Parts: sequence; structure tokens; C-alpha cells
Amino acid sequence: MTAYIRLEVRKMLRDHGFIVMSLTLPVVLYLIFSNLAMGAQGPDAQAAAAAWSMVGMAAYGALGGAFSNGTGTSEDKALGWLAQLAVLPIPAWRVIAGKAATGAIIVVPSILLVLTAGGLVNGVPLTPFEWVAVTALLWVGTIPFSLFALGNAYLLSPQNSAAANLAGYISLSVVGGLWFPAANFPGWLQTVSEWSPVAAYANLPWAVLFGEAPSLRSVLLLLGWTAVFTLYALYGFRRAGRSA
Amino acid sequence: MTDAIVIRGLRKAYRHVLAVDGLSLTVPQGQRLALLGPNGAGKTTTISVLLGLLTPDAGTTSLFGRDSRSAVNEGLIGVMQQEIGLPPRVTVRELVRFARAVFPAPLPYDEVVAQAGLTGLDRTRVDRLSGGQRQRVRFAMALAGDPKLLVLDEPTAGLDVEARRDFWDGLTMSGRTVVFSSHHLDEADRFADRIVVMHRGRLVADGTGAQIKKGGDLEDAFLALISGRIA
Repeated sequence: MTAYIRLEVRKMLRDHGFIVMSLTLPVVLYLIFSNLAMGAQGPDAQAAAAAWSMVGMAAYGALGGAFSNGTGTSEDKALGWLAQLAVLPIPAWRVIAGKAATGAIIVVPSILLVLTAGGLVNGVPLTPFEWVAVTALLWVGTIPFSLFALGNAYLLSPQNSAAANLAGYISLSVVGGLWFPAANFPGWLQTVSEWSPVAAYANLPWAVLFGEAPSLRSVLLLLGWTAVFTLYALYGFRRAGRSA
Repeated sequence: MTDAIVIRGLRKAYRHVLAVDGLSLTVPQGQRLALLGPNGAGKTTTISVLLGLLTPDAGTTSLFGRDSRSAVNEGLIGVMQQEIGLPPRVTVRELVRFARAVFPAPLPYDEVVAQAGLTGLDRTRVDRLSGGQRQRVRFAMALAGDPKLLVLDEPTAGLDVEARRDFWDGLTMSGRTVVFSSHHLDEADRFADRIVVMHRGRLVADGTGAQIKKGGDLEDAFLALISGRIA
């Protein structure tokens, strides 16, 4: 299976859409946002904003990788690559597991780039333990979104799944408060945000920034969404298997 | 010796079309069998069921005495599907190495590349190759695992005359069991030990090229078979 993962990771790292959307854009946006300081007054508020948007943009980049992986999978389906894999000695479950592992690998550079910019350029002061915790939470939390994007890829036509993944990526990121703090949203949108999967995801590392443990509510909410997206991906895969 | 392929009473219907209608076929090991028939005759459906990609409505298939999925997962079968199957943004070398890695006892890398006629092209990205070159990459992937049976669905589609000759010459030397579908009657006649003609999901002729031609022209015999006249 490592041979399969190696091949899929190579394919992704050569995808210009992925390089721009999920590697370059988040770190550039982060450096712009944090230096505009988003209206923060005073050095303390600016430092807090730099830390806050570091996690927001790292999460945004990581989600870009997870969704690109899904879109890439629908491309594989259209080109018949999935059909070719079906006649090689690799069981179907290994193909899915390999694809999920690919998603988990390609989100890492996006996260590290933004965190490095936060640490080196903006001097975000975290303890070594906090850096590790933020990185790990940003990484693990992408799993449900990878599954959601793979579900779209299996269930929808390639064009529709590319559109659904892009729309899902942008809207979930905005609603989840990665771009602008949800505290500034109008009331109804705040309520939506509180239950949204990306807010649950980003709240985990955000809590670490302020020296807290992630709240149980966020953990449970993200686990709930993980269950929903897992069922969705399984349903999509079974449907695709029947019609392929 | 176990037969390479046993198909018994295979039936497969799509929503409005009966694609395969009670097909039975046994292919001993070492045979080179050509599957001929007009478009829609049921060749690709038969191959898909045989490989475990489609579930039949009735009948059974086995490969080397095993069920299809086991035979594929044990690496006994090399498959070239019709006009599909290459991923973007990878090189020929990466793809062939991947194919070798998933089989238990692959052919040496250089041998795969040489036999598929890809020498000198292996650092090129697959999406930058010509149609004929891509066809050779598909063949290389089928060959990489040193399979006992090659199943080739229209393997020479898109190849020019010279490339077609090279392709069959390379294959003749390998001594494997080969099942291929084709629209080129001449290459079926020249390369196959046995020709099976399908029409509307049924087997309408089965024999050597000479038996089917009956001293005449294979194209005339083929057209007579599929139009329901007796040659």
C-alpha cells in the first residue's frame, strides 16, 4: 500500500491547483491579515490576532488539501484510474485507505507553512508543547473533511464534485470562522457557526492558544460530524461501486 | 492442468439490453484466444464479469479454478482495459514501478519497459504521451506483474500498423495465456490459436481462423456470421 500512497502523494504535489489553493494562498493571506492586524488596537491585541489568524489560516490550508484530495479522486474516476486500480491486486478497501492516508499526508505542509510563518515572522509565543498540540489538532481534525470530500467525489460527477468541494471548502471555512471571527457574525449566523464542523475543528487548536484544553463540546461536535461524514463517504463509495 | 478460464451459462442484462445471453466458454492454459464481434456484441461485458467488475445475473466464471476477485488479487491476471486507466501527473517510470510493487512476483523493470516498447520514454509524464504511447503504457501495466493470463480489451486500438506488429511479436514470445478482443480481423487470424465470434450476447462461432474462414476470407465469414447468414 505504501507504493500506492507514494504515487497518489506525487500526483497531488504536482497539482498546480493544490499548490496555489492550499499551500501558497493560506500563508500569503496569513501574512497579509496578521500584518493588517484586522483592526486590533495595541500590541497585545495584535499579537492575539496574529496567533488567532495563524490557526485560522493553517486550518484553511489544511482543509484545502483535504478537499483537493477529494476533487482529485473524482478526476481519477473520470479518467478510469479507479477502474484500472480495480483490476490490480489491491483490494478496494486499501484504495480508500490509501486515498485517506494521502489526504492526511498532503495537509501537513499547509499546516507547517502557516505555523512556521506565525512563529518566525510574527513571533507567536507558544511553548513547545503548545506548538505540538496545535499542529496535532490541526492535523487530526482534517479527517472528517477528507471523508466528506471523498464522499462528494464518489457520489457526484467530476464537474459537480469539483464544484461541491470548492463551495463546501469556502463556505465551511467562512461559516466556521477561519476568515473572520464568528463573534462578529450576525446572530443567526453565529448560531449556525456554533454547530458547524469547521468551527468545532478550529476551536480545538484555538483553545490551546489561550492556554486551555479543547472544550468537550467541540470534541463531541467534531466526532458527531466525523460520524456523519464517514457514513456519507461509505454510502458514496457503495453507490459508486454499484454504478461503476 | 486447470483451465485458465471457465465461463458457464453467463447472462448479464442492463436496463433495456441483454448484453450477454447464456455464454459458456472454456480456455485452457497457454491458448491465445481472440474474441471478435461487432460493437455491442457483449465482449466488454463478458470481460468485465470475468474480472469480477460486474456481477452476472446468472452463470458462473472462474479463473485458474478460483473466483475472479481472488485470481485478480493474487496477481494471476494482467488486464488492459479499453481506452481508460491512466492517472495524470505521473511518469511512465513511476507508474510501472507502482504496478510492479503491487504484484507478488513482477517482471524485471527493464524487461517490462522493453517489451512494451517504452524504452527511452520512461521519464516522460503519461499525460504528455501520444495515444499510441499511452496504449503501450497500459500494456506495460498489464505485463508488469508477470501474470499467467493477459486479458486485453482492444489492445491495439490507436496503434499504427508497425506498432501493432511489434505488439503482437512481443506477445507471441511470452507464451502466456492471452484473451483479447479486437476489431482487426487480420490480427486475430494471425495471432490467435482460436477465434470466438460473439453476436448479440451469444457465441456464434468458435474455432481456428482456418475453420471459421472455410477457405474463404475471414471478413466475409465474420460478416455472414453477424448478419445471421450461413457462410
